[in-house]
Amino acid sequence: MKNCWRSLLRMNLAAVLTLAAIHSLASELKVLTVTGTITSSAGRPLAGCLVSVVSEFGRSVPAFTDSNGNFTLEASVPSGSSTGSGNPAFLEIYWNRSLAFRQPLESLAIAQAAPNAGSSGQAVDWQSLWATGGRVVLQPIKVGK
Amino acid sequence: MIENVIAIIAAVGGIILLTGSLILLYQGRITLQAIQDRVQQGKQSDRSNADALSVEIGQIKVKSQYPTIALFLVAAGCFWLALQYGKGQRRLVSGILDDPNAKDYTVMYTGVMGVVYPDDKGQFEQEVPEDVHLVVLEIAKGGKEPQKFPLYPAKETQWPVKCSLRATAGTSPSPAPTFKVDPAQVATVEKELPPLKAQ
Repeated sequence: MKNCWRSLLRMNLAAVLTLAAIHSLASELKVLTVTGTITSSAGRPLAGCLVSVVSEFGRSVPAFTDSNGNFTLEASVPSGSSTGSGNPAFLEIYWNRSLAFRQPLESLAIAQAAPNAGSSGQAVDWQSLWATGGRVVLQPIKVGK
Repeated sequence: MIENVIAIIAAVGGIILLTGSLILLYQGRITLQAIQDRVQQGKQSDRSNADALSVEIGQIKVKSQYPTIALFLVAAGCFWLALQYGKGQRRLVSGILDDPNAKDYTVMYTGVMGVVYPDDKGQFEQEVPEDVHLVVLEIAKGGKEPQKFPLYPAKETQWPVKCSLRATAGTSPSPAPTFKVDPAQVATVEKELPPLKAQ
């Protein structure tokens, strides 16, 4: 009988720990709205490129660039997705079926950004965006040769 | 509808079995001891070949002399059945792209999060949850503005749905026909990343 209760207690403990881990991971995800423009190396806007943010934890719903090369997408990224953290988030750009561009998000230049909380009047960088989530407009990205 | 009813019945059955077996275990009506042990200890009448659970489905044979394990296995079976029936039903949404260069295009099932590539004949398909009423297909290729095709899967009568692309409208001001990938712009990754294409 004692063994039975011990087993039940262990199972309950395992369930609680699993739920806590899931909750912890979910609360660590931050939503970033990423906007930008894709251009050729000559600076012409590229339409029809498929853009997506991807990390080890998942991939955002991809978005096509419009006739002006503009795109907007929403990505859930792990808090602290810097390259040093070991699970960086990348921006990927596909030209038809070919992967044409993949760079860590934090390596891309920010044109404008609005974190979800705080940092009013402070310079906005990727670190504050990882911490709170928010909106970021990237500087035009040149792709291809 | 019937699937939902079966799922609910199976889930409730599983919960009742699980709770019931815990109560019986608590009351001592069933134990964690095997039937053989109880017989040897004289706690149970002589039914040395009796099993608490004996299931034979074709080549698969499951036997247990532990009443508790038997009850938990049956409960687990009920939960498995509930999960099988509770899983959302899916519907195949297929299309055909009316373009001579159809295989160059990418088709995105907006709202379902799936990217698929048409085959040489321009055909493409992707499973979507049955309760999705509207699927917007966004179709584009490098240098062309994406075109949208809203689909109402429940109302469509003919599959695959024909998608005719507008000939020149929406063409990018810079089609960039000589686009070449620069390998230096594609960073290598240590761990495998989730694929772009729908699974």
